[in-house]
Amino acid sequence: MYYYYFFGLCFKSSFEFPGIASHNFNESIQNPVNVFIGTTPDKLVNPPKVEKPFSSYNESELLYTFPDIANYYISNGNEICIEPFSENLNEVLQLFYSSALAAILIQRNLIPIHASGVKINKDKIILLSAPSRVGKSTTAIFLEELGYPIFSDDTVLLEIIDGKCFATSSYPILRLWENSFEKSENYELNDGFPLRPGLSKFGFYFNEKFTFEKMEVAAFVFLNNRSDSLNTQPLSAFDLISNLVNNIYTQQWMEGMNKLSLQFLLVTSISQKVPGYTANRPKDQSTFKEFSALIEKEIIVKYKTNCE
Amino acid sequence: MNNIIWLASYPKSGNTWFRSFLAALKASDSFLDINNLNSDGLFSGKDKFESVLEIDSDLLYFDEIQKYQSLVWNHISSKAEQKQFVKIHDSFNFVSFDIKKSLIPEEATYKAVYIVRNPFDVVSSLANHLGSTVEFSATFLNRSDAYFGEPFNKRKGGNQFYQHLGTWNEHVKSWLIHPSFPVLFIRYEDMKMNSFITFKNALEFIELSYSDDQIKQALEMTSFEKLRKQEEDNGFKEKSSKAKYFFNKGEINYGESLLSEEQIESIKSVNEEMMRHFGYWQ
Repeated sequence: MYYYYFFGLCFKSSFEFPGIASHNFNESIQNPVNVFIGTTPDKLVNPPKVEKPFSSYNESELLYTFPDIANYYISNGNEICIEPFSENLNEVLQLFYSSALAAILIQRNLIPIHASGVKINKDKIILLSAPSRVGKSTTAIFLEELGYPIFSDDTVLLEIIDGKCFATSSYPILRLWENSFEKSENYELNDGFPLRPGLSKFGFYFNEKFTFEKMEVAAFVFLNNRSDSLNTQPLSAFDLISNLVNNIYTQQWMEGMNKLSLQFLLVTSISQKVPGYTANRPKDQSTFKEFSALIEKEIIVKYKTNCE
Repeated sequence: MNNIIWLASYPKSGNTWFRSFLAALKASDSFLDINNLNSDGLFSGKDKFESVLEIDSDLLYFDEIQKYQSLVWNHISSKAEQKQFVKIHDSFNFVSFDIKKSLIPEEATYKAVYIVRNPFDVVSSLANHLGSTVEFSATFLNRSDAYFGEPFNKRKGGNQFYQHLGTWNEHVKSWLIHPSFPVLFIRYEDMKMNSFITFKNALEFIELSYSDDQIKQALEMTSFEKLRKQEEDNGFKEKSSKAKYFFNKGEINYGESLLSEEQIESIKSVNEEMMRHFGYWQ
């Protein structure tokens, strides 16, 4: 058996995950998620609440088909069964990372958000949140060049603990389009792997830099690429709530998995505890370097100054 | 099951104006927010695709995307409780892996409205949209390999899938000869010059029932000047980053004056058949 930590939860797997550092078993591990290769059921055990071309789900089960690649059955927050059709394990695991893990979290009443994070000091992070393709990962790697190490890419788990908002990193993989990392200093083609053979989007493992511990969220920065200029704006608590709701990862599952009240409680709690900003840039333009510098100047440096 | 009505056009031909008009008809008060047109999506948009299939489309190959687009729109059509008005700029084409299978799912389709505009005016509007020279857009209009969205062979994370356009002539003709469902062709020039009757006929075709007063009010709400003023005041989320304004000129029969004789002849030679068919040949 192989043991891994994703989103702070322990996963006990019957197979080895390529590129991800495994952990030794220890007695403190309780209630791990079992991951195994097997035959997925034809349909859910309980009646589906939502049925779509590739998926069906209810509060405790998700059945997903990625045609020609694999079927996935995620149940009761503690089991992931994968039935692969492709021999390329990296290809099979893409949906594990992007969907199966999120389903496990939600089945356990935990809420993931669409955000990349960078560390601004030894205790705190800022989260860069936005829908896909707005530039979360690219902004993060340019902030990394400015001295803010990557905390998580694409998704984090959010929790309120003792009145503070904490995030847990997802897994040690950063995903970047070739045209994004071509402009960066730290990432090269040879260090990555294509997410599927022939695709221009690559994965980069960052096991050595990965942070397993929860870190406190200093600020939410919601990225937008529809502006005519580079700028940042503070958000009211009301606007912070609506931005958080819009960026809940797999937000469309919340109703079908009966988690809307849980989501409401979390985002309203966060809005009272953490400041939010929008950071805006023009679309289709290579402004990430300037954009990251602006986020550093207007949000990170000001936050640090206010705290010190 | 067949609940989709495609609002089709070559880009910069009046599609957004038509969608604004439909939104204005539905607006409960006399105000239309151009950034909240409440339309039912874009055929090549990744948002609906990903929401229905629950997948990051960046993980898919081009032929998979083409194969699954029909699944997505069939699903949307089957779940819809009323007709869905979906914008599309793709030419009426066939999927790369089966020359008999149309990219646009005909089983999900009720009807289509195709808006056609004088190609000389399209050239000028397209140049504004692309932030290019008129020379570039005049050439673009004549290219069989012209497309919008991201390239099919080197994807790079845009918000829209590859949309084959072809030449202006090929685009118009594809929608004229291939669909098995009813298509109403309306000319931008008629929308402009004979607005009331043109829009009223379109509404009859798509079986939306509104009074003459409601149609007139919606036309008033979506006059070029009002749409432009709103864009100047609040911006427009559909504007290309390369364009100063989306609602640029909105005029008719002005594009030819911006072109050289050589460019005019080139456009006419490539696009003659459909220019003649739709009354743009002089």
